[in-house]
Amino acid sequence: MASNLTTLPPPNDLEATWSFLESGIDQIMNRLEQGLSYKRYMDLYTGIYNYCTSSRMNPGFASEPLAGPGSNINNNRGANLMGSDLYARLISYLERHLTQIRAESEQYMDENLLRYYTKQWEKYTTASSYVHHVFRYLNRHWVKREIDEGRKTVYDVYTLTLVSWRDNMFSSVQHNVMDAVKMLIQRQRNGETVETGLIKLVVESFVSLGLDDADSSKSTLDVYRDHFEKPFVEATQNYYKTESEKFVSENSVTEYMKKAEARLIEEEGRVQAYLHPSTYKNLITTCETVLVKDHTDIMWEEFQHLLNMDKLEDLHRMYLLLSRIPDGLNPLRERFEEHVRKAGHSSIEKIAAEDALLEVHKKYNDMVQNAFRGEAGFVASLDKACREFVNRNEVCKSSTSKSPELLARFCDSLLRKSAKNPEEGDLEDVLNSIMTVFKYVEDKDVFQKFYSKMLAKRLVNGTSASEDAESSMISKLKEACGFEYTSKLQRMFTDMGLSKDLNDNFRDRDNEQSHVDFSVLVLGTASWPLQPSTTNFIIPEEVEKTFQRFKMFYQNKHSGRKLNWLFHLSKGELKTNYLKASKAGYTFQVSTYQMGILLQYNKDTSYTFEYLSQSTDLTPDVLIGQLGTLVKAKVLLMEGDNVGDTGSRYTLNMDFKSKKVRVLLNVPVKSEQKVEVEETHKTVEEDRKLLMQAAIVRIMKTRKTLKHVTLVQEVISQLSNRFKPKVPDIKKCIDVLLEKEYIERVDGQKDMFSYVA
Amino acid sequence: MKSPISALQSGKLKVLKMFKSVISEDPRHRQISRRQLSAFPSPSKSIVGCLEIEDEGFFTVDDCILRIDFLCSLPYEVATSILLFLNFNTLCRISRVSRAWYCIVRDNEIWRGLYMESQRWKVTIPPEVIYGDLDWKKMFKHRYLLAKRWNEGECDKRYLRGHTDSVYCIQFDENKIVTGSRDKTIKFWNINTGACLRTLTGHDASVLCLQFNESIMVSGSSDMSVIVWDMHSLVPIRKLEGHTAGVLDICFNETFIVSCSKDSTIKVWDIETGECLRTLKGHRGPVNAVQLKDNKIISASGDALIKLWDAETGKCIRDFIGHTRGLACVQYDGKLVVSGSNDQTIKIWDAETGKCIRTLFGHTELVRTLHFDEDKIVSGSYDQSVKVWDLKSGKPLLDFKDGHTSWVFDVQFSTTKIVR
Amino acid sequence: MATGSTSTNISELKKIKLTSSEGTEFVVDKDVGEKSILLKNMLEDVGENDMAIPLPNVTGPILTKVIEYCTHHRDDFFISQDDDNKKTSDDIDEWDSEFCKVDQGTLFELILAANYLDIKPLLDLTCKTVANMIKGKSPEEIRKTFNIANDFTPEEEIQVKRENEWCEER
Repeated sequence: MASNLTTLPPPNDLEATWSFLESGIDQIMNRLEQGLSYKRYMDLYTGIYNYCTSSRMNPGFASEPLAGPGSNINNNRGANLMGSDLYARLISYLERHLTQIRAESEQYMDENLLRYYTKQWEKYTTASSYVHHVFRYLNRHWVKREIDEGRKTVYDVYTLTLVSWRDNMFSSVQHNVMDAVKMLIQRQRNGETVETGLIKLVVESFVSLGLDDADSSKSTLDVYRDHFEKPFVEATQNYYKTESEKFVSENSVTEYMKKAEARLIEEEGRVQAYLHPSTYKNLITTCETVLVKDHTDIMWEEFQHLLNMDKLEDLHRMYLLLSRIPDGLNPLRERFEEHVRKAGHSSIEKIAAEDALLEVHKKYNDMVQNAFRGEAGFVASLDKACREFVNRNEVCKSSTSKSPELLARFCDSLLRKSAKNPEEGDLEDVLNSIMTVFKYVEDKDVFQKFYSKMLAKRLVNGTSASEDAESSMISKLKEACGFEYTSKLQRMFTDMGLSKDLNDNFRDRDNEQSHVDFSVLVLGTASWPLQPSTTNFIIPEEVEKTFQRFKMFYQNKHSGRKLNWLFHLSKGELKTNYLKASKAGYTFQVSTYQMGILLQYNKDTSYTFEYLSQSTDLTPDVLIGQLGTLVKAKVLLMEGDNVGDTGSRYTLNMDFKSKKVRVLLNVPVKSEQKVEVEETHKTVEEDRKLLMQAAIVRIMKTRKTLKHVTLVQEVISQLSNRFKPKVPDIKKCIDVLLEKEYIERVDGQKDMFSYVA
Repeated sequence: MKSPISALQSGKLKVLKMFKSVISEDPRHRQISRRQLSAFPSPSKSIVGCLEIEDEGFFTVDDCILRIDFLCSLPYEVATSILLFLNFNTLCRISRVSRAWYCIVRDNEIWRGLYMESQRWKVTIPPEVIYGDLDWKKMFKHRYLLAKRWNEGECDKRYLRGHTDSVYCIQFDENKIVTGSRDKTIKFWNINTGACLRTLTGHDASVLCLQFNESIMVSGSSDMSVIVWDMHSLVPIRKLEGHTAGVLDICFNETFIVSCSKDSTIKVWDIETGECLRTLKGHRGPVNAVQLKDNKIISASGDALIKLWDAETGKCIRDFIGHTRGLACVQYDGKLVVSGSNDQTIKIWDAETGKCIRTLFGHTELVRTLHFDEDKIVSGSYDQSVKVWDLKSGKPLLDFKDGHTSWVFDVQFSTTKIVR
Repeated sequence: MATGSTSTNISELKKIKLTSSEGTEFVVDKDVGEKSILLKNMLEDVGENDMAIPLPNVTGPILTKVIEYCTHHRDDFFISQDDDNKKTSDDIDEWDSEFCKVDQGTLFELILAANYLDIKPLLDLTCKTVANMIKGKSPEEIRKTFNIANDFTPEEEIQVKRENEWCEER
């Protein structure tokens, strides 16, 4: 043997070559730490090279008969290449070598086994890569040829060593190794410090052994998955099943959630620390099932409790845990919606509707953003709940149009001049929160109606608190609902501006004759939601001339326009000269009707109801209302039982006294207000019919023919940002249009309409 | 090759010197060189031979260049890697050099490499077959010759004589060609010898169309009828009547027989009972061609329209509009529709969208018949030519002009044959 | 492999010793030596030391040629040729072509050395050179070029000719 170490064997002598190689391989496999000289390495390589290259075209076959086209193709394959003998001997060497290692491993168990296995694995694979290189010539030619020709059981030498390890070592020790691994991990889970490097190496080894049988140049994770991941995940499942059941029985749900969260983080870290990344999904899903899914019932139960107590941190944790599993959040979303709805309804009962809506929304919006990370499902639940209690609450009873009315009134209270007007900065915030609620309002057209009514009033009466605030609100509405929605509101502001110019203009011309301070608002009928007066009225002669002059002035300027005077919305101021109580005289702030009545007293001091009725031409009910206010304020003194009784008499009170110099007599009459609200609601209904009809015509014009169902759907979707049309109403509108022959039924096709051009 | 020889000459001296030095110097080296000599017998023989010749003075110095039979002298694996740089022509030629060269050039891996280089020659090898067990040189040769025939349009022309009047339709398989003629007969021919095997009578007028499989044959005629034949006994099974004009085209699958007629209708028949299941109306001119695919019917008519129908319901699924004159032929593979028209063009359509993908110009008369597979279209025209087109690019590949002295009525091909 | 000038600079300092079959010692830069995959793998496995690396299958003159080749190509980034690509022998550059202008004996020894030392580009180059000597020649010319005896019987010669005429250019 000794001479073999220094002298190369003859090239074509298999026995000599192999025994030369075997001693070298043995040295690499067992005594690599003693080192390997360049010479030894080169001799081994050269030995293999010389053996393999001893093939060449056999000159002897020149004497054999010529192989024809149909001859055995074996002659044309890699059979001419040398190497199969060396390969076979290497296989049996590895088998012997590994059998020895395996036999030795039997004396070890548990951690010691792991230590032995990983040590041998490292030693073996290092040596194998040497052997692989030494056999490179075999790899390059004989092995490559075999693989190219499609033989699946021939591998390059390194892969061969792995296959050999798998078949001779791994297959018999893997169960014990895995038991030891599971034990080690269990100890770590129990809080012990363990040598995780061992597990990492085992993982590495199992992963390396995953060889693709179809293509040995590729690797798979099959071995690792079947022999490591599967038992490991099973053990994990059992461990946490036991642990979580015990923990839940002894602790509160909130405590359990903390525990589960910590365990999940721990397992995620475990994958990173020493497992193969592919295990992540399987392991974490399993943990999520055992730790979360199997305990969803108690968490769902706890949810209501946490909501009631506003436990944001715990809610957040619960959200995170349940969001890990499919459908884990659904019950939470439902409960959350229900909870917000309840909170909304109960707070409406306690405080003013708008404030309640805003407050509830703010609170739960914060909860959604913080505890539930703004998750879309919860946002939807919040919206749903808010829409629900905004549109269908106690205050509104069954009608959805009450909320928008209240909201519009709330706006009015903010925008009208009053002692309670908020600071400018605060006002903006409040308006923003109004918009939040507005978003939920279904009947946006109702809001629009009331809003424009009240805006009109603010403008006509000059009671708007701030022009900036008004326009800010309008631009917000425009943003939410589009240009069309606010165009009339915008137009009202324009009219106000135009009127101011007009008045200035008129005053400049009219200066010399003016002894009455006179101003007029000229407002477009189309934009302003103002009702014409229900009564006739004779203009007092004191203002008649000015009135006529203005008429002339306006007609000159805009011939063809018709002016309708809305005296019921007009007002004036009268200065008293007849009262002893004030030398300077009081100023009465009066409605035009009141002015008409009071100016009669410049001629006399006492009139009957009938006289006043005739001289003002006011209808009795209006006259009664106006007189009532004057009588109540003691400007006039009445003789008779009730205001408006036949023969009742009204005398100027010469002893009228007031603490204030300016006396406000122009107070709205109660009954008027109520009528007005009902009127508004009624006009909304009318408007809606028109809107629906217009929508139907618009749709039919573009689509020509359409099924009934589709048409209804289109109408609803087109109008949804105004209000929610009811299907029976749409049907009615369709009937109207059929009657008016805008559309017609298509013959022979059920429920099919076509557009009539 | 003059200059390399002179270069080799200068190298020669060096090598000879080297060998001399090896032989004359240190005995340890001699040992090595002897080992080398025994490891590489051929070159050493050659060198020795050369030295001997020089000694004997038979040749001039110029001719005494060191010559080595590389393929025989190098290890087999190295010798074959030289051959990898040669093309198949060279390989074939050099196999005639010597027995040894002949053997090494047969190396299977070399031919597998050449075969695989040509990606168009798809080959599916079942996983249980080891590549090394196939004769790649033989496979290469067959594919090569086939490709050459397609590329160069080389063909054997064979004329089948027997019909007494024009042949309208044709179908072939590995063994036989079946033709239908204006002489009211259907004839069976041996595809290899061209001999007429059988003549069938039954129609009372020209046989315009036919289709067969292993068990039945269906034929249509100007006599307005369709006859279903038993393919084994070659006797009529039943006659389908109902069309009010000549039956221009027929086709069938496991369930239906579909026929189209000059009467502008298409009829769907039950293949088992022969019952007329439904009549598809919609075309406004004679329906010249029909085809069935996955229970969908594609039809082409003289009204310049192609229609796609559902055979189960009889509903028209789609119209393909674009040809300016009547259509003569159409084929549908589930994805594409290819049609030929009297407007002298062929159009390729997307069956899903009904859009025309490409129009092929080239024929100078009515495009009477066509057939396509996954990469080419073969078309026959009244201009007496048969053309081959690339399906993807629409480029014309081949043009067979001579061969017909009159109108081409029908064409069919497989990878190895075109018959018309 | 040398990936750029910087790595060349560092490895310039490192030398390795090679011994040819006659025992002649050659000192070469490590990066030049590592063009041989055999040497590269071994240096990787065994590590570097002062010992000479014996190359029992390569003679001094051939080793000189091999070193000349590797030195010239020391900065080349050898792309491992994809086996699917069409192999051609027409892409030899001028220096390489000049390098291969040697007698058949030297060329033969170079092929063996490149194969033994596992220097793929050199093996390809030398094989291409032989391929070019074969190309475009009739069988008889080839026999003459390589001093080969025609050992076919006349019947065999006809058979072989017929067998291969399908691809002969016309």
